[in-house]
Amino acid sequence: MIASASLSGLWLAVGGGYVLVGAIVALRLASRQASRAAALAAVACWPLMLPLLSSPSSAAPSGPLAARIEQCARELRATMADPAAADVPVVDDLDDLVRDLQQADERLGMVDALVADVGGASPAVAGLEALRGARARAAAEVEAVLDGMVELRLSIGLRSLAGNAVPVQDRLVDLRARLGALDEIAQFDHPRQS
Amino acid sequence: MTASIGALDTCARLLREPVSLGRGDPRVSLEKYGPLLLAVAVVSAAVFGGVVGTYRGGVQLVFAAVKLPLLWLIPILVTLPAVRALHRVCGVDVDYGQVALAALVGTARAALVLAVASPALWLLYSLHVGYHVAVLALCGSLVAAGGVGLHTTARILPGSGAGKAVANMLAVAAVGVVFAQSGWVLRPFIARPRAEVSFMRTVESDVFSSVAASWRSARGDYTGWDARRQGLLANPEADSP
Repeated sequence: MIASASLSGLWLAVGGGYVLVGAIVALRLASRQASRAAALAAVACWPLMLPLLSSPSSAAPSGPLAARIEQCARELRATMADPAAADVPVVDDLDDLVRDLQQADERLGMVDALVADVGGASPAVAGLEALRGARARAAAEVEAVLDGMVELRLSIGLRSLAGNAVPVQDRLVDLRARLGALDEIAQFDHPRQS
Repeated sequence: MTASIGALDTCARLLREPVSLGRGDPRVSLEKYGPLLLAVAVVSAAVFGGVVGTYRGGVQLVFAAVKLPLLWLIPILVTLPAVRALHRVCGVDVDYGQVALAALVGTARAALVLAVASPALWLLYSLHVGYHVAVLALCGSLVAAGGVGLHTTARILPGSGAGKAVANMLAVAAVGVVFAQSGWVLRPFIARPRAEVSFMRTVESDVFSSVAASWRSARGDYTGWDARRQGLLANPEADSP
């Protein structure tokens, strides 16, 4: 009797401790802007979600176009999720596109800092103009992709009225490919730098 | 609608190209796919558990549907650190995120395979096979699906050569032991035809002695069932003759 009581006490302690740790991990994940589903999953299966705590918390984007990227992504997600736009799937490609845009934007931010730093100290240094030109082309491409996201929103709105099919996934893949082409151009401009 | 599309897409990728789910930054993939993979694993295992419960029917169907997901998840939750340590000892450099993601993809795929194959088990049980044959069919299904899951996990984890092969074999042994004992603790999944239905039996002995006794019973030798609790679970007062 005593043995079975201590055994159930042991199970309760182990179970309670497990859930407590799960709740703490879930709260930490929520405070790091992890998705709600990930935080919820961590309550029950925190050993699987533990690695998310070691990832750097989502720092505020720092590139020159960060605000516009965030606005375009938020608005496109809202449009795709709107009940009036039924049957438009929320596809993973949008997340991938936004990630690529943020990476391109971070590179722009880095180049801006570099140009300000080097250009202020020695404005006539060789290669500075080339870097400025490449930066301008890259920024124009990112802006064009953002314009494409706005056009996609309009197409989804038009579809809800006219009923024509909008290949959302294909459009997002095209926009991603455009950003990918930017990387290829950069490699073409500087083929031996690596 | 969109959630169901995401789930269907993930299920298709789990079956066709599971390695694609393990590519890229493991933390990003874990956050992106982790909850959905968990949901797929739980629902699939519950479906299979429901089919297993049909052998006895009634409330056992619900009990088995609740316990099968636990049986599927407990081993990976318990053995993740050990699997990572075994890989590192064998010279395979993996971080915890990679192990967690690979194990989750493997578990979800194995559970999905079980759910897909459950109509076959349902058909077998509908032929009114004996209890011990039903238990062995269940064990065979779990081992086969577990093999699929472990193979998937091994494919996703980085590394190559003899070190990875040894690490995988050791990981299979570690996960297998925990899986078997979890199943033993969580039984009954099928329930004997004339036994009282209960959510869990009292803990006694261990899984290996039970498998040996089950094997003997399947061949008509019904000895060796006087199991005793051992170690931490021992209860001398209750087990004394």
